[in-house]
Amino acid sequence: MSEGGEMAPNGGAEPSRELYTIPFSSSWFQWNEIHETEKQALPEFFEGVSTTKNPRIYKDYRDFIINKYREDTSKRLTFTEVRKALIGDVSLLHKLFRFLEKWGLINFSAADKPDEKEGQAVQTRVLVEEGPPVGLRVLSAPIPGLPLQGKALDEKKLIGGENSLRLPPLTSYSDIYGEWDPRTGSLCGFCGDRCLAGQYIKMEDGLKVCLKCSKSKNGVKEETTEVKPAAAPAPGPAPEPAPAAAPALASSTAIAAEAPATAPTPAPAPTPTPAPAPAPKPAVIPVPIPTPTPVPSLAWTDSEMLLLLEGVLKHGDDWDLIAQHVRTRNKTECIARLIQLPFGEQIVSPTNGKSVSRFPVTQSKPVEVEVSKEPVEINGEVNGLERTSEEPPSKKSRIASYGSATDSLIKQVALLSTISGPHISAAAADAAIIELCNESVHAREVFDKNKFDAETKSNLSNQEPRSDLDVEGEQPTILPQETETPSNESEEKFTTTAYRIRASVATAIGATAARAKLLADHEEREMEHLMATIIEAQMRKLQFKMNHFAELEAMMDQEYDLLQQQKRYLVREWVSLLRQAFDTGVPRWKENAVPKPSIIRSTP
Amino acid sequence: MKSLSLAGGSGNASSRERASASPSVSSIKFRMPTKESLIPIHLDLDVDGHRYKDAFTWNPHDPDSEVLTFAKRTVKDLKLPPTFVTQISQSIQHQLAEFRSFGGQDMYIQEKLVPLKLDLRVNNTVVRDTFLWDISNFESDPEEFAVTLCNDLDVADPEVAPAIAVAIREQLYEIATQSVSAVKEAKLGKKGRRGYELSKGGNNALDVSKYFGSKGSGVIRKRKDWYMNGPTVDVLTNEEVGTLEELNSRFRRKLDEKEDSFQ
Repeated sequence: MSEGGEMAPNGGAEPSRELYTIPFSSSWFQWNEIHETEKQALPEFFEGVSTTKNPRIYKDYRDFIINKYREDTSKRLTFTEVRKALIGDVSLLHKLFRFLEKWGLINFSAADKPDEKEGQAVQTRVLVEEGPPVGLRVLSAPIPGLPLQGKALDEKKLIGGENSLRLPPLTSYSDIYGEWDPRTGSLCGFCGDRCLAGQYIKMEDGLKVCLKCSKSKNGVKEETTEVKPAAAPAPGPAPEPAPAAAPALASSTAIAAEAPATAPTPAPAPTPTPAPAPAPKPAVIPVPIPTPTPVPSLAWTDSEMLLLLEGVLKHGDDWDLIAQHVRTRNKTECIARLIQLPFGEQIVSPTNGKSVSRFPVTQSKPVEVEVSKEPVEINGEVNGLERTSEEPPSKKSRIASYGSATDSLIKQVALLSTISGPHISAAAADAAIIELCNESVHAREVFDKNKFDAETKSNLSNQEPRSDLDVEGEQPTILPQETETPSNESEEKFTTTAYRIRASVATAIGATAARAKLLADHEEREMEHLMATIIEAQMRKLQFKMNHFAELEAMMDQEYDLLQQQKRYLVREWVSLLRQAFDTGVPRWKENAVPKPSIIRSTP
Repeated sequence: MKSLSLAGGSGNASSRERASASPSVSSIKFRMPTKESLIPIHLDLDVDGHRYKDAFTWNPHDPDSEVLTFAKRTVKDLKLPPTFVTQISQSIQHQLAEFRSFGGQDMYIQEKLVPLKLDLRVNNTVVRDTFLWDISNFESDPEEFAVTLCNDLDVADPEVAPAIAVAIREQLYEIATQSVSAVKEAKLGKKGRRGYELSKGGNNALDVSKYFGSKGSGVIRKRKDWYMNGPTVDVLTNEEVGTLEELNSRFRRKLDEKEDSFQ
């Protein structure tokens, strides 16, 4: 390979056959010479100690590598290609290769290698060493003219210190939520398509499913709901009618229509609800379940995430079962995905049993649990250093989250009302029914009264934030209003049902309110208690400080006394000295007359 | 351009140790000739029909309590019968003890380019490779090499790189232990120091003068040799893996039978 052309600094001509670009900072490079930089970076060759390493050989290696790269400057040269053609220690060759790459003498114009996928970077416990070769320390000045991203990355590591353990990049919003952007509207939880306005159904767990998917996957959904921890019978049947009823109501305000369907069902057994749900239900269910073909895409869809989290909550540590639960992903992918989530690792807990929420949470969002972090081992490779079993501060005192703020008010109400005990609900039901009965048949009056009652009660339960603003234009409305419109319609069709609906709604709210009040009181007490503790701690601190200062003061006093004594002693000495001097008749005493005021002054 | 300060540690350490008569032979305490002192651990247990075969690296400076923790964890993750816990920890302890028994002894490490070979199968990926390794280079890093190899060849399976690193460490460990025993022999007078230098030492070291000397053929290989000295990576389908394993187990059974028949 002829080297007729010299290397041109960056900013020069397009890479031609003879010229190709290297960064300006590498302009010290000469074909015929070995520069100081090289000698310092790779001292092994220049010590003159070994037979296999001498400058001539260094030059041979270097020239070969660079020329190999020049064969095709757009293609990235890998170390493996080079080392199979060279005889020598591969570690040393690797060092040389990295040196050349770092200085842009090779691979400068080549396409960057895409960064390793985050998931894979997490699992291996291999120390990935990037950046300068071992012999180099941190540069005091950054190398200018390194525009390529890959180089810049190297640079950062160079400056930040080499040999650092490469941690997986921080999870970003996009990793969790995929490409979802609030402005683009909702994405279907199953197929990932954008949902057209009004064409989607909101499922039990907050998933949004486009109409197509909801019809075909209804069976799938029910399957998964069965798997959920069915801790309480009340929420058990609830999920089933909900998705079934939802598609049946073909109105454009699908959410609102679903509300009365869900609301009555969470009400506990005593309220005999001839739920309007069962009527349309059979129409939708018998759809053959197409097993979702595993699409090994990189992005995790909502439903997969859901299954993953459910699986983790249920099976805790058992990755096989979790992988089974999430049918479309295998074990390693599940683990990788989970770790990527913020606090993902804390969800994995072998002590899952004791810390699962006491309450039947029908949602599968991860509840705050106690954690002991366990390292995930895939292939059994162990670095004992990695083993930690830290316990983040227990949050048991914090009440389990009942559902995030993004859930609609209805959902929260429904959830909370399921939590209260049967007696409360019974009492609330009775009260509601009595109220309704008292109100006679006047629709408006009933509504107003009911609304008033409900509002006063629901004011208490309005701690929860409002429902999420769907882009489709759903406004967060106060519950009674929502029930108003559909109840209006249904009233024309099913009068008794309407009353019953109202009764159950009121019941739910009443129960909710009771529970909410309880929770609020509890919280308050907690807060007070904590405040008291804090104040006590502060007081103790202050006490200590005061004691400390008192001690200091005592010490100071002692020192002061000592000093005084010393002074007196000195004065006495002085006086005796003077006397002696006087007795011996030193004539000069008068000349060196000590200023008498000082003697007088020193006496305390 | 500001000058780069040298990494005093690496350069000086190795030159400090080259204090003996011959400039390229140094006598140091036994250790793994890599940047990080990790030793390869090999497990191959067969209990009650459950077979557990594994290889990984271990940091010998870890407290020994880690062994038990690791064993428990492994048994739990792989759902092995609990008898494995003791077996695994015993095996690991044994290998650790072996390693430690070498500690404190001298080994002569001279600069020697040893050809290392890789021939392993990890899940569905088969890797075969050969390359030269300077065992006197204490800054060498098998993990780094393994990761570079996997990245350059776009190996998808993340378990391959650690397996390669372990394989390399095993070979290095072999060489290190052999050099220790060679020292012992030399001290006992069976072979002179000079004899050691020329002795086999396991793998045939590269004849450096052939390539590196002033009259040597140079350090660039001929193109036709590139293929032989480069890595080959194959990804097998599941059937092929199945056949391989079946062949292996058949072979193993035959060996066992032969052993039994001798007794």
